[in-house]
Amino acid sequence: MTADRTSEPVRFTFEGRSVEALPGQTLGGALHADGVRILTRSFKYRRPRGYTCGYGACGNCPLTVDGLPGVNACERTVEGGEVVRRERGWPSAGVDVFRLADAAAPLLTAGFQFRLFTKTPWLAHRAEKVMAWVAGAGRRPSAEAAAATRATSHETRTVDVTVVGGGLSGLAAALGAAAEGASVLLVHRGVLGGRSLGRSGSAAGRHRTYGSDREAALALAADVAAHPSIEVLDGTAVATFDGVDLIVVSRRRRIQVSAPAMVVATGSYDVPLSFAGNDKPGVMLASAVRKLMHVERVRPGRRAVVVTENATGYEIADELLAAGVTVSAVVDPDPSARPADLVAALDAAKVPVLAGRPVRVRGLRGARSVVVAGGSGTRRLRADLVVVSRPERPAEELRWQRHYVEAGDTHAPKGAPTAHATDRTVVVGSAAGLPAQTLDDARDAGRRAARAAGAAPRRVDA
Amino acid sequence: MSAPGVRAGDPGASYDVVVIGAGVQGLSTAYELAKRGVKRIAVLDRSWPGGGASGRNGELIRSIFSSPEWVGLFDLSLRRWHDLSAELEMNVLFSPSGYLVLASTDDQWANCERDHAYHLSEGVDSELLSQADVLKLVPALNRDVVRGGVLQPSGGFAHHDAVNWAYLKAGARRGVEVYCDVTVTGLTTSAGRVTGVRTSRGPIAAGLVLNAAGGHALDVNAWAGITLPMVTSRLEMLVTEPLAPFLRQGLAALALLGYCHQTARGEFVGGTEMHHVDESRSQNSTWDLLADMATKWVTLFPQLSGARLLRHWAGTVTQAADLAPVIGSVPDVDGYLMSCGWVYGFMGAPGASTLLAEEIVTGVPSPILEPFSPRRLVEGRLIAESSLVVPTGEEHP
Amino acid sequence: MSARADRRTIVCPCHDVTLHDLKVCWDRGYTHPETLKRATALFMGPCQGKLCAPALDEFLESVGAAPGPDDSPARPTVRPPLYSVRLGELADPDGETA
Repeated sequence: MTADRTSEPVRFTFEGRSVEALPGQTLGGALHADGVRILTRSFKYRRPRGYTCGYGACGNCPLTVDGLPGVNACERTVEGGEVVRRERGWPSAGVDVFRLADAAAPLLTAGFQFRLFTKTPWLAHRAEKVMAWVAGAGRRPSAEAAAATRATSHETRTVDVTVVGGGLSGLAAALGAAAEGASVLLVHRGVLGGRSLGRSGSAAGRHRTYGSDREAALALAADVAAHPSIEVLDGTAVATFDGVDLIVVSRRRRIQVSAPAMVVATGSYDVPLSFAGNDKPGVMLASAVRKLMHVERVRPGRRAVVVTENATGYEIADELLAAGVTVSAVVDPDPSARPADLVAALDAAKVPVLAGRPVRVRGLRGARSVVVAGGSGTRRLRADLVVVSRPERPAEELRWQRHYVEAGDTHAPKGAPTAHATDRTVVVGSAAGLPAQTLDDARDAGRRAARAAGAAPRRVDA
Repeated sequence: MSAPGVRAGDPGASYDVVVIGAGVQGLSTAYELAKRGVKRIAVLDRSWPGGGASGRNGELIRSIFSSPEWVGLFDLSLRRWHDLSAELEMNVLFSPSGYLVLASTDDQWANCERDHAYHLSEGVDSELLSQADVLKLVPALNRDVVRGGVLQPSGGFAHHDAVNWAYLKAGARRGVEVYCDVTVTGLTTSAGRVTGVRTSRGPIAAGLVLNAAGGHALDVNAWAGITLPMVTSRLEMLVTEPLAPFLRQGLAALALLGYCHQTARGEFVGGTEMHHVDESRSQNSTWDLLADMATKWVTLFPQLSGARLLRHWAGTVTQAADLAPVIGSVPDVDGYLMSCGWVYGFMGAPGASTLLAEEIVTGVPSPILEPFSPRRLVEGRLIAESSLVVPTGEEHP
Repeated sequence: MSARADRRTIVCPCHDVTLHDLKVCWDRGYTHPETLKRATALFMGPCQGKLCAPALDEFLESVGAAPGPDDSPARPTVRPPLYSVRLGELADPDGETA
């Protein structure tokens, strides 16, 4: 699916009222724009949770859509007409009586169930039934929703190269493999281009002809979509298995793929930070903030504090200012380690850069303020948005699965992600720990995969 | 250390009993021995306690089987289950919510009727349920696959990690020494007697060695020069996200070769088998089984079509042709016992460990354990048990 | 950080596991990634470790138990599915198998 913005706003029903969504917005983005910051209540303590990671990795935004629970709000593009409810919370996720469990938290610490009622089995049994009822929180797919998820066909594909992940590196690798004469299957969850669509800058030297990662992603996505040798599947790569190179689910099709070579372009995960109150709505990871601003066109908050351990946080602070968000401060354990020009730019914009760490985010239903500790003591800063920007970590799972298949058993590979790349399993981009990998290098990786698959290079005029 | 009760440091040079495998059989038998006054017991594991089938299984518990041998052993075990948490001083989350054996065809229904009559004759709690009865009990079932069933009200399920940890801690309190990250690499023998084990941390002398090595049990037997008609096989399971309660009981579906339950957190956990035995030692998950499980569970519980799959894993067991456990000694190999071949090991452990420990300490053979002796495999006295949901490798009804 | 702050620090949003829980279970003796996972429920929710894995890494670092470059990473086995999918999407389509 490519980012097509030519259509009109659409509407969906949210807990009985009508909400508007701009074309291309997700349910999470539209609700955020509508002022709905609490998207769910957590499993055990019924703590409020909101838009956190933006890319379906954190589990903090499940909604029930048309009777189907567990739909990640941040990933589900609004088409119009959906009936949407939040899960967990009585009488609603907005005001949840079961939040009292949070107050009982000291009694409910991990493993509490193994220490309670050891001598009174009948009481244990009763308690278990109550727990099951509370935990289940009435979440059950309706009969219609369940039937509508059922796969309607099983298909097979035989290609030279599969590319798992259609972010910038995956797109480049797919084009590289196709240029080498390979037939290519590209699998991608969401809009082609991935996180790059949220990046208005780019790492120096990453690409030559485009002004930004976003521009590059849109261009390559168009090239991929138009390429006769590349099939794009909008769906999820399920796993790689012994004897089965890849299983994909895409639009109610179950697809079994045979391909001698695979490019792992699964990207990376944002890394959260541990501090008190770090799970509250309004505490958002870097990619999520950029996605809200640049892809969903939603102002992520009114007043932000950016907590950062890398240059990205400073760029985001700049972007927030441009989006009309007040930035109370950038908090960095080591500002001297960042490029001087980034720090200077914020100085010029009168945004304080504090050397320190967040200690606690306060606010009952979402972030209201953050307490920061540093050399000069602690201070409390008002903020309804706390951005956490830390070096991302590779999404290594698929590479490990390939290794299990090669090894014949579930022993984890040791060492860095690239250490185990073979030519039949090529890892590119941030999945390889190379978030700034040049497009040329990603293309070359695609070519290597194509050659490993035995593809014959095309003639020059192809 | 890896779990509470596991010892730091290296094992000693000699013990009265060395148990190979810190799974549920090894840990429970060690506990039962210590409880009966055996002093120096070591349990050795190559990995973390309960890391094999004991931490991967379906957690179901029943005694409504069709043969006197199985009913004898597993009913004793079920009775132990009811008191286990109190005795081990840890809540193992034993849930006596009932165990339902589901018949989908007339043949399976006829077996259920026959088995039910047998249960009553043995004083085992059992109810025969018509299709309407079953659907009343579990409305979420697809009526097209329900012909009827047998319910054991006192059966159910427990939490496998809690059980392993509880036996581990209770044993450790009584002096059992559990060592992890110790790989047994061989046995030491002398004149037809096993005298100890060789390990990655050096040799250990033992008055008695117990092979409770689960998926690795056949390797250990081989070191003792013992070859039995057994294979190692792989079983697979899956778990979904938590859902509102829709299944209270443990359930075994004969037609699906499947077993499942819903945890107290609401997660649906279930495993199925295909008609052939997967004789693999790998713990990789396979596509064949994922497709099989997804298809069968969605057929049995249509709402599960909309449930998110969180995880699909595999584990290995060893099994004999009759799928019954292999417990006891073989002639001409002294100082060595086995408790392996367990496919229904989780539910059987409390009973088997009690009887085996008693046998070891008193020297009096248990009539309940005798049918499960390794000698049956050599002498061709296989146990005929028809109420299982694991394939034997032959055509299933 | 105080125990109170640790109780308010969520390391696993899926199952509401706090930093305090992690420390307590570690101190109790659950010191293998697989046993720690099962004692706390870390890695067992819808994210299957996507969000919580770094918190585990940092915790192990803080208690001096981070795996070395030659050790296996401190993770449970990586299992299917890579992202949660509905069981219905994996089932044989009605009346059809490839």
